[in-house]
Amino acid sequence: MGKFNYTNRVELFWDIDDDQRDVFIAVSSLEREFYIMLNLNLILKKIRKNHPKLNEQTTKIYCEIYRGAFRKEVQLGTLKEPYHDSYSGNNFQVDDRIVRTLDEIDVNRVSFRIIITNTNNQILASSNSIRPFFIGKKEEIKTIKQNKELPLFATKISDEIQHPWDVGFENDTDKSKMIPVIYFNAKLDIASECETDDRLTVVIFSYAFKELLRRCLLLSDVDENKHIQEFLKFAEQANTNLKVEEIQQQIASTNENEEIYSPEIELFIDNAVAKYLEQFQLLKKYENARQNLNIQSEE
Amino acid sequence: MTKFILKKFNENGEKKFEEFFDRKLKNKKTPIPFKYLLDQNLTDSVDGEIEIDNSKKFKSAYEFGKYLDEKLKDLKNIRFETGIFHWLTLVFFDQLFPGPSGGSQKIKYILNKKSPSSWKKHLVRLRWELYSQFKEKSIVYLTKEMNNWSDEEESISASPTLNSSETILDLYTKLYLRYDNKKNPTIISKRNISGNHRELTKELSIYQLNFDINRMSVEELLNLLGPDFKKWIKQTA
Repeated sequence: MGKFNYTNRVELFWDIDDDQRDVFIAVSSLEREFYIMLNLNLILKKIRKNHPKLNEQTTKIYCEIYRGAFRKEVQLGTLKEPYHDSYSGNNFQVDDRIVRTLDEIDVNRVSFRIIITNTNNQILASSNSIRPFFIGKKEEIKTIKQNKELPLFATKISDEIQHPWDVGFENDTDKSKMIPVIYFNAKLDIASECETDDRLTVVIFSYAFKELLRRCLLLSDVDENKHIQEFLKFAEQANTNLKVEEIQQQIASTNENEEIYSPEIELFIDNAVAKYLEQFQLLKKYENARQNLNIQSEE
Repeated sequence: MTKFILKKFNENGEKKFEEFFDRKLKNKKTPIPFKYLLDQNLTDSVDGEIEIDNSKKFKSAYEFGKYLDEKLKDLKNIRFETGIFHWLTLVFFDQLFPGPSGGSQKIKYILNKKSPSSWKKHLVRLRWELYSQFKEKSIVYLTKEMNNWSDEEESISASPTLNSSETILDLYTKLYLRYDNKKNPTIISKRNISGNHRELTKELSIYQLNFDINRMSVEELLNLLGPDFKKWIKQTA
């Protein structure tokens, strides 16, 4: 960021822990919209430090949306009166002043940049390219914010898979930023059906969790990747006899394809799946959904 | 057959078109498979009965972009519809391939779904995009023949900020676009003279880290530039 910094601009952080994050952006692939939360206190503190004579009333905030070579610009007001969504007290509020539609953009490959400029067109603060959280419906933001932690994996609509759904890693060119993802085939409507039918959610998500965990265990050089580390930590907490590090050592010293299906590691994964089902009450949700269906058919 | 009703390639159609292109690269005599354009297994229909005339000759990339915009203007959200642009590339393939010096770079003809940032170098999509966005002003980037990937296009396709900004287009126009006695547009910038459009692109790439160049006026941008660039303003065709 120091390169060519003639305007003493500050960097806005987005891929960092929640309490230090300046900008949070989520994209709903179902609603084809984006949601943006700004941590104004943090942002103002930073900018004021570098620009003591800051005029908040005339300093404008812009959100630039990129998809490949396409760029779209959305105004987010001024530092004095910013437009941004907010979350507090379990309540997620959208700011109606934001033009948030991504209709003309392929929502699955969109990225964002925030720019804050003064009346002389000098950039006082900017982010680098922001990769958003991908969510199904906007209500999922609550889950992310309530847990104060990253979701174990993201969901994404994809036109590149042949199966109805699949698992994999987003940002897989950068091991420090890879994110476990369930991909839903764009030609089908499974993602939105999961929203309304918990039985489908349980069937897909439980197996997706299992397969993603297996793949995470096989990854090397991901110590800096907080998504993968959180995923592995979650699994480790479900096990008392075996540590992730031990598994990775075993895999590294043997034939990984055989080792990853060994009874010992299978048990490790099964315990993690059991914890996952329990924590997110998936079996209970499945049972409730089935009972509701029975009641409806009897009626 | 010279007139077609606009369609778009489906997944199979795009695959077949790319396979044809790869064959063409290896053997320039490979015939152009215009039959793909009508093959129901390879294409899907699009809204409306839009007639595309592949016998039409275009004087420049600008004329081509204008034609595409006229034909596609009523279609919604086609920006990322690779199937339409690949179909159109095949329609006009004999006018687009090869380039004037034999150029046949794949990204000029095939939109790689895994690399959308390279789409700005596509001979059909970029011309449509520039004209549909900037209309008559897009001439500054599109003065050359339709199969000629111009230096100007190469320069502005360096970044989405540059090729999406009307102010920057106005700046290029002010510095480098002139009309000769016959009112033909011409670009006066030369690669071997300092302050040319390639150097301007590099300069703007640095400025955009510090200045909000998308929202600056042409005069404000000119104030940032040194004499090497400003000297072009006084130059005639």
